[in-house]
Amino acid sequence: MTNPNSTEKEIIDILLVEDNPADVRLTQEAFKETSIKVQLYVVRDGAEALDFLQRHGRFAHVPRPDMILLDLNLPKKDGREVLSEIKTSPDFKSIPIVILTTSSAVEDIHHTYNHHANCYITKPADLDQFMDVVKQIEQFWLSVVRLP
Amino acid sequence: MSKLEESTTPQQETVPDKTATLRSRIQQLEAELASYKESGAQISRFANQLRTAADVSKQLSSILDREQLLKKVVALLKERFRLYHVHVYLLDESQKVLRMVAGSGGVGELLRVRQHAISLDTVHSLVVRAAREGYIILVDDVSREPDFLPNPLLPDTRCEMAVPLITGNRVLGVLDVQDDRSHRFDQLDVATFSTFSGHIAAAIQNAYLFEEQRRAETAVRRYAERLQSLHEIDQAILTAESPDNIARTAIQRLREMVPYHRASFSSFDYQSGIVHIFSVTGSPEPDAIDGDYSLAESQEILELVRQGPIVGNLADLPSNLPPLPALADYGVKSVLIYPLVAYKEIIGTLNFSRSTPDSFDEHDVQVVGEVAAPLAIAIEQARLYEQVKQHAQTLEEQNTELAQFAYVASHDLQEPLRIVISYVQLLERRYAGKLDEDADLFIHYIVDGALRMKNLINGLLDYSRLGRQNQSLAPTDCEAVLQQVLSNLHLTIQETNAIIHHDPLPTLMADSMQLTQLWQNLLSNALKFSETQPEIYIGAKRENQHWLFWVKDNGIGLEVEYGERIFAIFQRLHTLEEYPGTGIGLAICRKIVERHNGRIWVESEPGAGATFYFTLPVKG
Repeated sequence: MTNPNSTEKEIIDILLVEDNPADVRLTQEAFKETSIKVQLYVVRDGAEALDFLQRHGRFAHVPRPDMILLDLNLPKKDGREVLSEIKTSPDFKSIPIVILTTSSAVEDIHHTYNHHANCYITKPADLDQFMDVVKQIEQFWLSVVRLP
Repeated sequence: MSKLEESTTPQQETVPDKTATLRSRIQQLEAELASYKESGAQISRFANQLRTAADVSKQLSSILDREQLLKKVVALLKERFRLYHVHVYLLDESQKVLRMVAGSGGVGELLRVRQHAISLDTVHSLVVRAAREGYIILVDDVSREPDFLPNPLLPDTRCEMAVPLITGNRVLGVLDVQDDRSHRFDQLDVATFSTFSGHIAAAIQNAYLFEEQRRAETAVRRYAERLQSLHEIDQAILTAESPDNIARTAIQRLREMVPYHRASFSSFDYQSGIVHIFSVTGSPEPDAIDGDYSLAESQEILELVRQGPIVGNLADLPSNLPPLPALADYGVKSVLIYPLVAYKEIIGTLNFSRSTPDSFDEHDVQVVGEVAAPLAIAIEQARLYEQVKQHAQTLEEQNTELAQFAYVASHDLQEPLRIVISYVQLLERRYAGKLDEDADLFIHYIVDGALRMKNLINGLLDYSRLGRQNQSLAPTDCEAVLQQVLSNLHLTIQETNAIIHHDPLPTLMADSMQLTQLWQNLLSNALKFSETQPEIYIGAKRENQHWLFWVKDNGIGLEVEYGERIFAIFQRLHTLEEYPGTGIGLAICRKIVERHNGRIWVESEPGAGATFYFTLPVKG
């Protein structure tokens, strides 16, 4: 278990909840170009995401993630449900969550903010924007770790 | 028989002796006295008769119904003059026949019911002679009169007087009086009846005039009623909703003027080949004749009504036509089938039936005809209106579906496109210069194409979103909107060194997001389609209930023939190399303006710049 507030970590553990392998790889490639060191864990649907956090089954030995990147449209349990379950759980609600989605629907944005998503990002339409987003995440992280 | 005799000469005698003279004188005096008494009696009788005549005349003058009048005449005459029989003949419309119109007693009534009449050609008739000659014909003893026609119903007639009824120079008829005593009528009677006939004739003439007036009044009243009914039908037609309801209402209203046993409406649909029939009988139960029939099977009826309305008996119509045998089961005997013609085509028929044969007459046909003409037009218009409404609804549904489709399609297209763009860019980033020149060029083309597609999809999304979203109208400061737009475009404005002036802009009811997009699209066009330093003028002018805005540039302009086309989606006038773009911007502009109930257009000449005008209502 790690606590970003206690010590400055060398490697940040990020859980990416994303079903599209192309997006997974793109995210991985984008993080390669950042200055911070990131260990990216990937699960493909909402149910797996919750298993990961609760260390069920094959996730028995994974760390508690420092941040979650959550796609809204997922198979089985979709991102909205995952979000509300995490944010109502005393154990996990402190984990920062960034919503990554293609949806720019107003109701989705409201829903996610109402469930205390820390950040809502429309999936960037090209690589440059994607790099920008990853940089924003990096900034966001740095600001979070500096929180007392 | 004799014509009127002059009164008899008084007798005179000469006596030789005094006694005889005196006796004679006494006799003379007695005779004179008797004569005097007689003439006194005559005078008092005459006075009496005159009084009777005056009394009768007075009674007659108040009776304006001809039948009543003559009934009274014969009754009064018979009673007051103690006559055996009295009756009255009147010349009928042909003026060739004397028709008995009133007679005293049971015999008189019997003769009247039998429609007793005498032709003016009859040679041996006292009545005819009186009518033809215009004089009173008196027969003292009918047994000696060859022209007397004995009537077996009046066996006791001994004398007869036929008195012509004359007013002006016209003979109206004959008053015929008979008695069972021969030589019953003397000069005085003749004189009395002569006077009397004048009164009767005048009273008859009065009654004629009154009847005529009453007929005219009745006609006027019936016309007024008919007009009122027609007016009511018109009103009903106007407020009815469907073609069937219009027909139903009209048929129901027609019942007052054309009473019917049953009625129905047949409507012809030539496209589907169906005759739809429904009954208007007032009964809630379904009717045996109601339903759809084949137009082909009804061809015979169709051919008949093409000639005009069918008036006749059910038995005379072709019995193989589908609804007709069922009508017979309802006891229908006669029918009136009236074609409804709209725009030279028979669109249906109004069908009326009665349970008595030969029952419909010209009047019925005329009344139905008056209703049929406007009814046909109203039904046809209601049909057309229903069709238009249906088309409009279908169109609206298709439109919504299309807008939904465009939105979903463009939204879902974004996802794979995002992957394509990102990876091609990653490829470019990592491998540019490391493969060969061709690879670099190909990658460039892919990136370029994919980015253009992204712009198109975004444009399409914006466009379809306009149709889906509700507008949020609020007081919008156009000045603020313009500042926002200028700030959004400041890079381009700097690059092109553009000069932009504008009039003071108003505040009006609008969707500010959409207004921003509208002005941004128009301004970026003005900046884009320019070969020199852009000079742009933004104008605004209040015109009654709306504001007129314009964006005038000094750019390349366009030919006026394309003025309408540029507002259609995906329409472009230039190659991508000349001026990049998606062909959606102006389509979005038009949609925004039209959703604000305004109008947008362009005025331009090639090389002389373009001015885009649009209007927005002051109150949204």
